[in-house]
Amino acid sequence: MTVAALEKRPDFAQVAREQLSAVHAYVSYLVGNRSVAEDLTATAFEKALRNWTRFDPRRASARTWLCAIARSVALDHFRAEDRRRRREDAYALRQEFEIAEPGFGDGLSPELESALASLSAGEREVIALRVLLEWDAETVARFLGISRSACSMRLSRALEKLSERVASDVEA
Amino acid sequence: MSRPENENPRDRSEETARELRKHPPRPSEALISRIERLAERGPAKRSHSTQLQFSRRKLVLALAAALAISVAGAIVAGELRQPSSTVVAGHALPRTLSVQSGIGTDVSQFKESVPLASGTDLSDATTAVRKAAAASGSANPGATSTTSNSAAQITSGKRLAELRAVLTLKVENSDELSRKTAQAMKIARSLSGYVVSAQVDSPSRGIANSYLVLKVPAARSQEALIRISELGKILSQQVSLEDVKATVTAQGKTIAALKREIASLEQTLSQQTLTSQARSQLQVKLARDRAKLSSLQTQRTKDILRGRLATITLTLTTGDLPKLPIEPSRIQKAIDRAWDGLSSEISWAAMGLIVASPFLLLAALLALALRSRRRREERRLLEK
Repeated sequence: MTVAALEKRPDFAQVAREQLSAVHAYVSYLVGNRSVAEDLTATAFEKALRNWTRFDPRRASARTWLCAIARSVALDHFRAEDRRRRREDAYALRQEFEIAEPGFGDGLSPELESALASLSAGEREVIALRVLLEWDAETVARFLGISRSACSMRLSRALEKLSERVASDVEA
Repeated sequence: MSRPENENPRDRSEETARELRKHPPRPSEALISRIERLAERGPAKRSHSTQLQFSRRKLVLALAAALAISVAGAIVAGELRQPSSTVVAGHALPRTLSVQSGIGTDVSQFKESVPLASGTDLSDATTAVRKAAAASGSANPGATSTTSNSAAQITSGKRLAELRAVLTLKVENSDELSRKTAQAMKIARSLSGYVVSAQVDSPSRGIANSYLVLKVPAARSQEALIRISELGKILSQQVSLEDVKATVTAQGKTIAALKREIASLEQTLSQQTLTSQARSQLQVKLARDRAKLSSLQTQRTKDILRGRLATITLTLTTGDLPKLPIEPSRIQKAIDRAWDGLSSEISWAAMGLIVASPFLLLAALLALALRSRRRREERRLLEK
């Protein structure tokens, strides 16, 4: 990285303050658990701080870079959970791998919370990126490593599923 | 959240999205303060070397540097490989003296480093070489304008030496070629020599050539060379002189010894006291010595003849010799050597690449497989 690029790199504290809400929202939707999301967000920022010298503003925005780190942290968490569940299966101590403390947003209706919890992590992820973080389809597709049409399809299906479940909950 | 019936699914989705946007997850105070504390610590100071990151510009610079080092290495290697110049010292003269001149050829060339036996007229020879060099090497196809007097004059004085001359002369046309060929044969005969072989190749179109191998007495070889070289313009000439006196002397001594041995054997065989076995053994030895003597005498005669008769190989042509490359300059030589070095570096690199390619391919396939596996795993994890 050139000296000019290093000079252009913003202050970490400032970036952390600005991006905390977005990264937290993304992680919350991804893992679907408030306390786990808080832990993972903190872990992601710690990791970001350790690797701050590697951040190149010319290649990606701070938000994208932080979300990528958060995604990697969340995937590590999923892997660990997966291993834990397998161990429990092996020793017949199976506990439901479920969202213990759903928390997608203060003020959300219980139906919407429940419907969100019923979606897969991948579906919630695309909703978080496109709806909450308001990234464009191109950026999200690149971020997830999928095509733009696949990204749009995933979002549309996820929102449709969400709406249907909310509607059915309301009717029930 | 109440919803009207028969609502468009798209509208419902949009409304859900609006709802989600309205109530995003908020980080707790605990998390905010945790991140604040983290941010206050600031990023760890790293040394400059650890801050070095991969970038395209650096890759290009590294490649350029590698190329520059390769070229510099090739130049240095080329300079080191430069052959040392041949030194011809007056006291280490060659046994075989060879003179070449003509279009693009070296002015003079000395072969072998066996000292020449005393008696050979070397001063004359080297002077002749220089004369020939000055005449024919002064300009490139300068040879075409060389006068007949520029024929190399090498003599062995009174010492027995074999002289071989190879001359290429240019004549104007086919008629001239036939006439000059006949004249060359006449010259050889007039000097008590003879024609070993003659071949005339005169097509109706194109270049005509004639090839002659002439033998002339060594004592008259200079006269022959001068007269023959007057037949056309010298394109190239090569004259070599090989001392045969030492060989002939050594052969003479061996012959004398063999003769003595044979006489002694004959005397022994004439005695009556010999047993039949001893007699037969001596007879075998005598027969062997006689055969050896006969062979040596034949060889000596041939060697004497070689020394007495000079061989002139003459080519008469209506065309020009193909242009040989001009002696390259020092810079050109350096560039050539550097290029050779670079070529060898490239070939080594290519060889290394060929050897490493299966491993690189395997590594690439492994990387692809790992990446694909990671993607699949991520997808599986995110589908839960």
